[in-house]
Amino acid sequence: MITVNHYIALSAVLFVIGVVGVLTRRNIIIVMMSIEIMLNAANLLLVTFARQSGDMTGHVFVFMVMAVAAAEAARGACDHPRVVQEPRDGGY
Amino acid sequence: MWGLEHIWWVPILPLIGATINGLVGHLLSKRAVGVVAVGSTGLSFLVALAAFGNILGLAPDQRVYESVLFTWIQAGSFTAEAALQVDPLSAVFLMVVTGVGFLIHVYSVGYMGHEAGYPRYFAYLNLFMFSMLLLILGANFLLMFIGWEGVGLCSYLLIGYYYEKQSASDAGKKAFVMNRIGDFGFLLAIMWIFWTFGSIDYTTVFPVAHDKLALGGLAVTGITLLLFLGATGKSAQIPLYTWLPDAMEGPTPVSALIHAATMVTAGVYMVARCNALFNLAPMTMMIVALIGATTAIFAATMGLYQFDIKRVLAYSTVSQLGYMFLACGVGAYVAAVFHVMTHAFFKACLFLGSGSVIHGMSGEQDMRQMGGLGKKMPMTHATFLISTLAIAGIPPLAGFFSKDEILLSAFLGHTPGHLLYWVLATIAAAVTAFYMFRLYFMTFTGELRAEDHHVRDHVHESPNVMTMPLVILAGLAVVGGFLGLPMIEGGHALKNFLDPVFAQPGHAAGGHDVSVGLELLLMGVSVGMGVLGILTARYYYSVKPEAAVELLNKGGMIKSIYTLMQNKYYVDEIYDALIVKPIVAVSDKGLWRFFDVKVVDGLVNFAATFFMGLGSMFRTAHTGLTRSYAYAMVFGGVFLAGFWLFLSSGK
Repeated sequence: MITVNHYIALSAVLFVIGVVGVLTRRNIIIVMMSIEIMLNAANLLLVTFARQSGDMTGHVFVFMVMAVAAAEAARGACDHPRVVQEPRDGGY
Repeated sequence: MWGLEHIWWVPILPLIGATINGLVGHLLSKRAVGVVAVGSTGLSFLVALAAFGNILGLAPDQRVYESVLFTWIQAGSFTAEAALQVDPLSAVFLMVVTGVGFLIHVYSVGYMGHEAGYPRYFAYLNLFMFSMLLLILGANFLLMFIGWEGVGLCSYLLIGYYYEKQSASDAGKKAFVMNRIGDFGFLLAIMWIFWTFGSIDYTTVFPVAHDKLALGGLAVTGITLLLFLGATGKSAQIPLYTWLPDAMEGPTPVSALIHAATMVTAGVYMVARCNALFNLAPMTMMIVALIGATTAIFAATMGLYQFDIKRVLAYSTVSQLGYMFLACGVGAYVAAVFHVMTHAFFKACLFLGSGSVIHGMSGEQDMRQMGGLGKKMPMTHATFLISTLAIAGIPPLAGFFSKDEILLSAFLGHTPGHLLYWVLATIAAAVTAFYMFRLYFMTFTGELRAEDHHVRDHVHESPNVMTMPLVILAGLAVVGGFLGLPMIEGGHALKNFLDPVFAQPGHAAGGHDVSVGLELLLMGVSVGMGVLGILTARYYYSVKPEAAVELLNKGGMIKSIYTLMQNKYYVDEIYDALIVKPIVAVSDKGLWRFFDVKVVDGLVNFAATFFMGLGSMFRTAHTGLTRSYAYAMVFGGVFLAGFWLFLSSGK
């Protein structure tokens, strides 16, 4: 039987993977992907709790986060070539 | 009444003169500067004369006129009005200050004719007149204090008139600092008076002093001692007298006006003005008399063997001021004011005469270079001789009357130790006669000792603009004493005039209960002492000058006393060692090198270096690497979460 605790544990594991990715990798694409993983860990928790309490607010939040994350990914994709071209402005 | 109603013009006219000469004097011709300065003082004298006439015309018990111009300070219960008050006491000073002041202004036109800072000199001199008149006319203590400070400032400015000369600017500074010590006492006394009486107006304070203050109580003794501290500074009494001999660095007319005739008598005026307070403090009175008598004899002996003509006169002034305070101390305020007046005449004449001598000697002040000037400067000689006789107390000249009255008051005084004071003052009279005639014989008789041919050939009588004031002052020195007639059995003209100011409940200031025979005897003693002094001086400095040299060459006691007196008892050196040096040492080693450098600068520098060190420690954390910030953020978050878990698990 899969309980809420399993979802929480999975979310924590995903989040730590994201954190480690952000901290250890130097490639900006990988870093952004790690950030996405952390956001999705949070999303998973939101959905889990929303479902447990029967409140739709959590689902709405998740859609919001996904939309913002998509926008962020699009921006990141634009930024990447510029950062590569002018590495001194990169700051990382 | 024309005169009293215009009393404001008396101080204001010199102020206008000072403003004109001070601001635009350098644009005017010397003649115009002189006209402005002398004219403003002369007009002031005329107004004062009219006011004096008005006062005389009033009934004796109504001779107080107050003129309020505006309310100057109003703060809570404290009120100070810009108000002038004319009563017999200030009227006498008014006449002396404006009269002698005017004559000295006239004289200055001649004496200062060759000086570069001509407008500056007259601006200061006029400013001095304004301050001095404010001092004597002010109707409350604050106005007196303003005038008091003003004359101190002008004295400083005029002593340092030849500011290119180191000794002159040093002397100015010394006078200023010494006076500050006294002023501090005066200021405290004013505060104490306000604290006690709730007012600083003469008309409010003095009439109730008798009821409000206990005889000899702490308050009245404290107030009067502080007031007297102010007087010792301004009037050059022990222990604050050392500035006056140095003040001779100023131009000679300044010495005559400020350091002989007027400013230095401000202390006497103040004590006489506050007689209602002083009479309630027997201990202060005793101190005043003691200081006065001691100063009289002490300064007189210091003047014995000086060679600078002006320094002899300076010590003589200190000594004569001692007489005035002695008179105040034994309650004989009338005698003190009388002596202020006669002293102003003959001492101003002596100073101006010495100025005339210095002028004729091309600036030489050393009496050892002089001699035989009598033939070449007949007018200066004659006026100088009259004034010297006057100061020596030879009848019927002015000095005789006033000095004799002081001696008589000391002899009959109620103050403890008054007979001792009388003895001291009588000896001082002989010493005075001696050193004044030593000065006279060294300067005017015998042969000219100057070796410089330019000086020898240049000796000449001064122009009329200088000799005329001398003649007038000498004339006053002859007749000024007659105000003290009839002198037997009390009650002379000046006393009757001044008595309303000094009338005390339960304390008879005058009206000596004394036999005519005793008065004549005392008179004989004082005149005898004067003649003795004159004859001794004549023997050693005119008849047989080599006798003095022989006496000194024998060495021993006489030689060491001579050296001691010539070095002014080393008082300057003692003050230097006891007060100046320690203050300099404490300021230098303690306040500067330790407190300022180590503590004040140390604290400021510590604040700077401390935060600099702290910053350099934390600077390493600011790497500029995003990754390290991210690490810090993650670990911080983990730490906070762990901490929160730890806290909540404890419950």
